[in-house]
Formats: sequence, structure tokens, C-alpha cells
Amino acid sequence: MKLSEIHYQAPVGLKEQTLLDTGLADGYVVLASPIGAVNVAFNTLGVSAVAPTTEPFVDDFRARFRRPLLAVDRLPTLIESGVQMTFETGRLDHITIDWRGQTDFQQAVLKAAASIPPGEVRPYGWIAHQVGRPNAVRAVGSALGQNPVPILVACHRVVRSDGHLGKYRFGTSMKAALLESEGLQPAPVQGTLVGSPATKVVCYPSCEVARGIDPDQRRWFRSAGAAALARYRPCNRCQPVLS
Amino acid sequence: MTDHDLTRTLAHDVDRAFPRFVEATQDQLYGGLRMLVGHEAEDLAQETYLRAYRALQKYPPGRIRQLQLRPWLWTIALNATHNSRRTDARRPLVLIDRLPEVVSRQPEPVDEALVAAMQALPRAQGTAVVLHHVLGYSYAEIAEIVERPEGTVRSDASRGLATLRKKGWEA
Repeated sequence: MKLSEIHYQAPVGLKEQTLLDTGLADGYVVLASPIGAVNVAFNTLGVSAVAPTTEPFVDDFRARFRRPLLAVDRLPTLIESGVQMTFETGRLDHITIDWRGQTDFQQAVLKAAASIPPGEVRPYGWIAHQVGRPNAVRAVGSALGQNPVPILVACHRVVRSDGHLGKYRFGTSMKAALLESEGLQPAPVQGTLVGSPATKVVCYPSCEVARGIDPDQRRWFRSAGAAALARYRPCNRCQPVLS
Repeated sequence: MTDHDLTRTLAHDVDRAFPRFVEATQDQLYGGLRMLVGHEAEDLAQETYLRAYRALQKYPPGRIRQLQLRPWLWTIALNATHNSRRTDARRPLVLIDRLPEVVSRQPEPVDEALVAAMQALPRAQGTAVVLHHVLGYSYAEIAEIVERPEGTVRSDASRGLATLRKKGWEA
């Protein structure tokens, strides 16, 4: 038997494992989410993509990010617990997101959306204000539409200023289902803002502060201008745009 | 693609060339580790590539161009064998889909008697035998890899081989 004639082959999958380890490929798993089964992709930088399993995923991912995507048996431990926690609480405190491929503006928009408390909604114009581009409402809409990690980054909490839910990449009914799962009451909305005559503070209707106002005492405003004219000041919590 | 081309493309774009680097070196790296460390070989090969990747990311292109890729990889691998305890957080993920070209590969059965004989050798002798007699590195290259004098490597290899001969193995 000759030592020089030994040739062992690397096991199946070693290269792919290596690409996962180095972040040159992403892995993905199917997880249960508040709106049913979703694909969740990740790499060494964090979660890179999320989509319901009813949507095309693997081909879309490869076309968009141009990295290999490999099915794996589970998420890395820290990402797994972070994703589960975020699904439970609706707050993005526990995971890192791979933001590569997003412009600074897109990132700012998505982070502003992620700051909206679960069960509450804000208008597109509010995001535009938060990111310091008050006139870029349309660009806000398209940045949210490109959200690579929906559900985790709560683009579904951004709605039209008239209270209608507005568009959602996976359909308005899924947006409604997500918001309902977070406890947003589809209560009748009689204006864009609601205030308390006692405190002269005005809020977005889904804000926790607004929901605390006695229903008989609520004063509804059709527009921000009307609230400003009545000399109401914006709530510190939901920071409605009055100008 | 020759090793020279591979070094050049790595120097140009690590991320794009790295998968080809793995393809070009994985059989040799895994095969050698399989004989030296047994069933930990796959984990160690993964660890080695991760360290190699991180190093390449830091190196300026000029430094990458001067690398002797395969000996350099073995230097990393042998360092990794010395401190290689995986924590649970590094528990490997299991791939559940296979690329078609990967599935068609038929790994050769590993000769466990040889692996046992190799592992029974003192570490330096086993390393010298595997790198020289199995993988074909010159004594000068091995001396660089293990950072020991060439004469020492040569005598390690010959002592290791002498032991293996008694069990029926030839160079």
C-alpha cells in the first residue's frame, strides 16, 4: 500500500459550509411567524431576508443579493432566539439586520419604521419627517416596499394619513392581519389626529396616549393644520407632524 | 486554474475568488486532516477556511500575491488543530439541500487502519509523513509550514515512515 496513492475527497457540503461560515453565502430556514410560515435568510452579519412561504424566495433572493442561498436545518442560536423574540414582542431589539444593499436613506426609513411600537401605526409623512426629508413621502413608500426583512422591520405599521392601511408588498389583507395580531383595534377613525381638550395634546389615533383619552372627551381633527390652529401641541410619544 | 492564477484573483477580489480557492484546496486539506485528526477533520477544515478568509480580508493585495497558498493554508490548519474546541454556538448548521454536482460526488472510503496508525505517531512525525509522503510537499516547504528546521522535518518524516512500514505502508 502506497501513501502517495491516497486521495481522499472532501465531504459533500464542506464548501457550502465554508461559504456560510464566511458570510459568502446565506442560509435559510422556514419558521412560524404571526402570519404563518415565513422563509428567513441570514448570514454572518445578521438576518438578510424574510418573506412568507407563499412568495417566491430563493430565486428572488439570488437575483436581488447575488449571493448563494442554502437551505439549512436551523438558524444560528443567537439569530433564532432574536427572531422568535421579535415575532413575540414586535420590537427589533434582539437581532442584527444585514443592511448591505440599502442606501443610507432606505436604512433610515426602515429604522424609523422599526421604531413604531407594535399595535400602533404612523403615516408615511411621519417617516419622511423622522428621516429629515419631509417632502420625500413617495421615496419613503418605495423604500418601505423594498424592505428586505418585512415583519421583523415593521413596514406594515406605516399607513396612509387618512387611516387607510395603504399598500403592502404581500397584500393589504396580510398587512391587516399583522396589525391585528399586534393588537391594533380596527376602531372607527374619525380623523387623522385625536386630542385631549384637557391637556391640549394631540396624537395619532393608535398612539397609546390617544387610546388613554376618555372616548367622550376625544377631539378629532381632520388635518394637522386644524390641530395646530386649535393650538394643540404634538404628543411627545407619537410625535405627530403638525407643520 | 493554476495556483498562480488563483493567487492573482484572490488578490484582486477575495470574496469572488474564495469559493474557487476552497474548491481547489478542499480535498487535499480535508484528506490530510482526516489522517492527522480523524473525525474532527471536517470541523477543522471549516475552521481553517474561516481563519484563512479573515486573514485574506485583512491582507493588502500585494501580500496576497506573494502567498504560497497551499503551504500557507496548512500553516493555518496546523495552528487550528492546536486550539480547536467548538462551543455550542459554533455547532455547525446542517445543509438540507444539495447542489446537484455536489450530490454526484462519491467520497472514497477512508482507510481507518491507516488513520489509526497515523494518529498513533508522534504529532510531528505524523504531520511530516502526511505533508511529504501523502500530499507531496517538499521538506523545505514543510519546514516553512511547521516553522522547524528542514533537517528535523526530514528525520521526523523518515522515523514516521519507518513505523508505518512495519504495518505494511510504503512511501
